[in-house]
Amino acid sequence: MKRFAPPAAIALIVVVALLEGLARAGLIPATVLPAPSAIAAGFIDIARNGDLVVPTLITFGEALAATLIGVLAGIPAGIWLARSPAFGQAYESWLGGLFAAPIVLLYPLFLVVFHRTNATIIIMGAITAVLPIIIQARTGMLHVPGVLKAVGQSFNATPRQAFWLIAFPAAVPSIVTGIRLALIYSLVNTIGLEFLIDFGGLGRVISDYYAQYDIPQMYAGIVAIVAISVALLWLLDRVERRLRPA
Amino acid sequence: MIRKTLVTLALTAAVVAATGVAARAADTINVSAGQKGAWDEMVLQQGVDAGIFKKAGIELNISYTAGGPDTIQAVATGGADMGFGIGTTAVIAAFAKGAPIRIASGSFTGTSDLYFYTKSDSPINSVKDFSGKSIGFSRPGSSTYVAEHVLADEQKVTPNFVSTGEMAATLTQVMSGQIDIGWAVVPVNLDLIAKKQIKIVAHGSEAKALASQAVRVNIVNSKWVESHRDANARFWHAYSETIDWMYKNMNLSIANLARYNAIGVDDAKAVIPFYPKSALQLYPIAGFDKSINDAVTFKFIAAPLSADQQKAIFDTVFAK
Repeated sequence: MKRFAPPAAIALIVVVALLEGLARAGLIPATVLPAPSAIAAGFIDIARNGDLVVPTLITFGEALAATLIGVLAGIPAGIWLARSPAFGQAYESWLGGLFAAPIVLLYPLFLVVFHRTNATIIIMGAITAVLPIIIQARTGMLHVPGVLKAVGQSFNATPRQAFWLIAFPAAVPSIVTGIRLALIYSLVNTIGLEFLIDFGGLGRVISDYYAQYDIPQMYAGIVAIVAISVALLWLLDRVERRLRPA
Repeated sequence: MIRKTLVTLALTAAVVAATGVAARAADTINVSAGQKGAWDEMVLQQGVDAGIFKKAGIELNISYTAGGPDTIQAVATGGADMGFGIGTTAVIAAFAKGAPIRIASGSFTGTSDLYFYTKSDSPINSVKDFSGKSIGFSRPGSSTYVAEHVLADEQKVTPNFVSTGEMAATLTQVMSGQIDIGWAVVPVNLDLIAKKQIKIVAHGSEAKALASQAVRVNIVNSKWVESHRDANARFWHAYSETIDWMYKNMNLSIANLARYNAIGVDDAKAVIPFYPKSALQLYPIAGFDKSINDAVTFKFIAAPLSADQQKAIFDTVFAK
């Protein structure tokens, strides 16, 4: 992830100022999008009501747990599919199809199995997360440059060495792309499910404020979600820097 | 040639005058309602099917939402011109917070349409057994939310209130044991009661304080109504006429209800005792002061509506 460059900050300030001006001029109805200053006040309000810190941590934790499950299951599965061409080709289109499917709509089924608990949210998030990781891990392993493989052979690398020192590091950028997608999708899934079943973290908070027609507070919750997204992607950036070959 | 043209114009004018309303282009009104299938929410469709709105020169685009908050948002943002069957406290809260909506009429007075159920083998048999049990409601501010809290206060029981969403999701959670007590409005789930899979453990009518309170109201977008006063007035007269028609032509309206819900006519007929005609009164909006108090009590608004706000919220109210 790029550093927070000054132009980006300036662009953000310009957009916020523009929205503030449009809202104050009455060109954007407050029922659709309140002024950023009203959202800031809403932010303070939800913090005072105890609806910010704990719900943010809950949502952050659920999305992170879902992604970690996706990583733990998805990377080995992707590597296995890369090493098993028959299975890889057989399941490639299935995985792509599942990835595009709105799995969140299956929530009544998961409610029956896991009940109205964090487990339902995490498991559904993990299912959403695992798919891009499998696809990207397989792709990364299949596209290890031939020259790198040749170098390994010339040094008489054992299969284990060839995997850990050459193939896996070469596949890291693709795997990280999968994890990045997984993070985004699991977060969206987590928030959506919390909203639908009125349970958990920020999705529930947004649902409650929406039901009470506290629109600035609802948007403040959405801003908190953006903050979580930025935090998760920053975390991933740090992990990627450690794993990526120099 | 000129005389011929004048004669043609005169004939055309005579035909237009003679056909009156029929010649006028119908006003299209976008309406949004929750709880599809409920007797009171199907007044719109009954009126369309009976040709009453068409006779009034009105064409309806009916859409159904998952509940009151969605209906309010649809009306407030102009996606719909009118919204139906919304919890009065939620409407008061939205109005107080600046939503461009007005109460146009009452929707449902009392809570006779609402019932609470458990699985058939549950040890819960009445409200007295509710303490410590989980009970579902649709959304904060909804009529189910208010009714459950009033019922619990009146009977001095302390259940755990859980937002379970709409009726199908609530049933799933009851049958899978996630919550103890579910909610529904008739005719929903009556087939399961007949099959003894679930049992009614309380009726909404047991909430005495709500018996003479309009728990749901109908709303209009304030900007829309300013520019459509005539269509608005014609609509509400047609709506009122539809309610009269439904109770005068009971067999036909019951058959319609059965068709809307894909249930048997006998099941649809079982609905009627839950819906006395007086419950569907449009005006006056009973117990509005109590609804304001509920909105404060349940923390939907910080303070009661001022006198000016109370006047403004009824700006377009339908008076028969």
